[in-house]
Amino acid sequence: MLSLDLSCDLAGIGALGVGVLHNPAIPGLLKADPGLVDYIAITPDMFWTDYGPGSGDRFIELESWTDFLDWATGRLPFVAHSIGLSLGSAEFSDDTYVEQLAYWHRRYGFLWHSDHLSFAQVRSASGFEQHAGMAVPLPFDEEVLDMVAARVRALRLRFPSPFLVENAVVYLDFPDQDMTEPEFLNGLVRQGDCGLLLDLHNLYTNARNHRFDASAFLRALNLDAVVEVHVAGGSEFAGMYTDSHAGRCPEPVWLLLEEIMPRTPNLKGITFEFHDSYFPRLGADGVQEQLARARAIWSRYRVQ
Amino acid sequence: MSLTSFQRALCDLIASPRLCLALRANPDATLAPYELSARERKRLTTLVWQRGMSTNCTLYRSNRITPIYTLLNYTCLALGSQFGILIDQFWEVKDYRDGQFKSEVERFGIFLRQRIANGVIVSPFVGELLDFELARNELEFTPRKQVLRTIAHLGPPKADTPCRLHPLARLVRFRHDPRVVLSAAADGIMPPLDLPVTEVLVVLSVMDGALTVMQLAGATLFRSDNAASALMAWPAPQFAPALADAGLLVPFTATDGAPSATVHVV
Repeated sequence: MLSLDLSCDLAGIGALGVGVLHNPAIPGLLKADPGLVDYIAITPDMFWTDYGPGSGDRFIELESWTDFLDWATGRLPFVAHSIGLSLGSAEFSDDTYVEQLAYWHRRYGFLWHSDHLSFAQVRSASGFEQHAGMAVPLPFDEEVLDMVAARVRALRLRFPSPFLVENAVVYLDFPDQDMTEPEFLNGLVRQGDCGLLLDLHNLYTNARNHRFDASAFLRALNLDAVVEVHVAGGSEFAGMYTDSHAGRCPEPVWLLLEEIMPRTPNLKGITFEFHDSYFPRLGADGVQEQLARARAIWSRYRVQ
Repeated sequence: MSLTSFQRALCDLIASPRLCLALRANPDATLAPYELSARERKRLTTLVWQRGMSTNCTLYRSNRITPIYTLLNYTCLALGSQFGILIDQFWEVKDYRDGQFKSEVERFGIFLRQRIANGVIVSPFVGELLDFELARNELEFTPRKQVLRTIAHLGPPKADTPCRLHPLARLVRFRHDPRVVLSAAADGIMPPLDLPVTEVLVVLSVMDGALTVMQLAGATLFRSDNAASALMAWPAPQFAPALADAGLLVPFTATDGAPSATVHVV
């Protein structure tokens, strides 16, 4: 079940179909064939240089990147997938950054906004904000749930469209957690009044590394809350399978997508992610093939 | 406070394989600076034995090296075997406040310039390649259209008009033939160490959109951080014909403020 507010917000958004997460390889692909996708997911943080809190002109946009958004406006809808909210930080707030995101909502009309269930900002012993160098996972504890849910509720008021939280990729195994990951995510949906961005490749990566049953995870998850799904590829690195977005989506991830399609009534879109450094190997044909695969699954379950 | 401290400890461990090893060997002493609950302490002492912690440490290093290697590729190449030692020293500073590529690269640039000044850097090509790549990055991150709008009202300077360098251009002084050094770097190699020393001024510009690099004819100008002369800080076209001819001078206006670098005419 979803809250009335979130249900109403979602009711106003039609099912989109298949999208792609923007990277420097995307403009060329979409300018050649705008019909390749039904929407574009963008990470706003990648479109500007952030000179940090206290700077006069803090956010300086990268014109070569925003030129593409100007081209795409009116052709394709946008959804936002930020990386800077650091939802899980014990102590962190950056109102100017949130306002910048809200400004971009007004400017580009994002249909929803998502960020990650992790943290990247941490306060150093001397009181300064430090960057963690990566998205650091959170233990699934009551204390953490209360904190993240409160932050998500506050953010919901700042953005005009639904807010989603993405399940994280986790290479660590925190002992003695209060709850399982599906219990935590379900609790977050309830307390935070948010939806879920279900990253099936993150789930696959975690299940493969920590040897658990991804299907059992999905059975325990409130799939009504899933608004967007991410699919991607990965690779072996440093002794584990990693979520490196290294090209084609592995077969088990497509199977997980098939599995959830009949049980995700609020799903609006499937987004394919790849890192542009792998584009030379994947090629335009490879991207088209992955998007076509996602579209075939989408159509089988959504198009009558 | 406990969760804050736990997160700080976890991040410190991810950033330092050495700290992970210390925690394995001596948990009490290693965790003494952190205010942790018993459960958090137990978690951290468990995590440092997990394969996933090694993965995180490697991912951290990979994430931090990516902007430097991407945006200072020639500099890294010129550093050669010194790169590994220097990057470890750079990370020891623990001044990583954001994940921004530009600021990370600029911090590393400041760090390297200190090492160059101290005579630590072996390769004679590091300084000029660093200056070149920092200038190129600065231009590529500059909002070109916005800058062009702000200077659109300025007409062409007269011969005696005080000027400044066009905001979409940078000057870089090479101490070796830039064609030899840059083409070798593009091929992934370094020129021979006995390449003749010569002063050459190179202009980088994004005035027309794409980055252009050109060598100014003759060593008539050089860039200096010593802003000793007001006249030289704002050179008129008659004193800097090479820059003026290349369209690289724009009239100085009162809002320009102090020069960040002075153009000297010799």
